[in-house]
Parts: sequence; structure tokens; C-alpha cells
Amino acid sequence: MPTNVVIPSDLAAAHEAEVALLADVAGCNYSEASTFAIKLAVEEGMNNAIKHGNRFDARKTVELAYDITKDRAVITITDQGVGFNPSTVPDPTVDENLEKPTGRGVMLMHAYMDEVAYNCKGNQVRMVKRNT
Amino acid sequence: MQSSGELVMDVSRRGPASVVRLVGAVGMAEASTLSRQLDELVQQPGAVVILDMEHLDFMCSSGLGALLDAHAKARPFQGRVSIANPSPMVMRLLETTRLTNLFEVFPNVEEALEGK
Repeated sequence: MPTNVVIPSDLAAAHEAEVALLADVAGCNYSEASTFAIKLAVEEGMNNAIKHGNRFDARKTVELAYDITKDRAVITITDQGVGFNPSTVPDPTVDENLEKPTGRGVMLMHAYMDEVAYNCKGNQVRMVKRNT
Repeated sequence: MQSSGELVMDVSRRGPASVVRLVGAVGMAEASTLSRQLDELVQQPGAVVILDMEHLDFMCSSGLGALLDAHAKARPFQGRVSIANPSPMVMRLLETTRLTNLFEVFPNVEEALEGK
């Protein structure tokens, strides 16, 4: 069943929402690798929304929408920030960026999910993971 | 033993080295706790810190950031941070991010202590 939750820009609230989403994933018998991928992508997406999108602004919210079926997990995260252009994010795997402690979230979402797409504004990401 | 959210950390001394046993998960909420713990250990002359990841099920990019921060802080002290026995999931994460180029990864703590 599709689920839609709106949380404040708060890491504890994000964690609570993620736990509920992962319970749905567990209920659909996803593989260990797929579960890890979904957990990682949601963690990165929520972190980006709260930290970079809403900049921890307590007046702004994050919307987490998901539909977990036995075949695939579809997850959409929307923040109330100004958005960003994901193509401008530097590649964290090149030698000159390897020691930088930040900047890996977007790359990891792409590496672990089957589909990742942003809206034009860049404040919403939609991710899909197939249950293989 | 220290606990933060889904992470439990246990530090033990093995000769000149500190072995940090990580159990559970390092998400964004736990990464700052891990970073503070590692800060204390790496900022000493010749510090050798081994992260025992046998029972670490999950790590996000904030956790990787904590490792990189410790790696950078150890360098001026001629110290090093190594990883022992990561789970296949965490190993894939280290490989995907190419952090295996920065951190030595050993199959177990004993080999990490010997540095070979």
C-alpha cells in the first residue's frame, strides 16, 4: 500500500520514518543486498533533504513517499529547499576527491538503486529498486 | 563500551594498537559519535587504530566521512587507521567508493595487528 509521511527536518524523525519503510521491505522478503541498498539510498536521500535541502530549518518539512511491493520498491523524497543540479556534484571516486569526507550520497544512490531521477527543480528524488 | 542509536562500540588495547569493535549500524545519527570516538584515539603519536567490522551490518556516507576524518587526523601523528573483517555489504561499499585505495583492509584483527 502506498505510504506518504511528512516529517520535520530532524534526523530522529527521519530515522523513525526509515524504520517503518524498512519494515515494509522486510515484509516483502527482499534479499539482504537489496535491503542494504534501499536502506542506504533512503538514508542518503533523507540526509541530503534535511541537511542540504532544508538546511536543518525547523520550519521546513521532508516528504517521504513509498510503495513497496514484492516486485519493486519505489521511493520519493521531497524537501522544501531551493533544489540543486545533481550533474554538478563532483565525482567522489576520482583521486583528487577520494580523501574528502563528504559528497558521496548522490553517487551511492545511483550505485545501489536501479533508477534514480530528480525533478527539474532538484528538490525531489525518485528511486526504484527491483527485488532481485 | 559505548552505544549510540544502532551502533555499539567497544575499544580495547592490543599492545600499541587500539581495536575498535563496531557492532550494528553507522547511519547519519551514529556517525558523529563514531567520529568523536576515533578523534580521541588517532590524535596520538604513532596511533594504530584497527576497526573491527565483523559485526557491522550497515554504514552510510556519513560513517565513511568519520573514517576519512580519522584517516586525515592520524596522518600528522604518523598513525594509521585500518579495517578488519568487513561484511560483504560493507566491503562492497568500500570498493564502490574506492576507499580501499586509502584504507588497508585485512581479513581479521590479528593480521591487521601485524600489518600484513
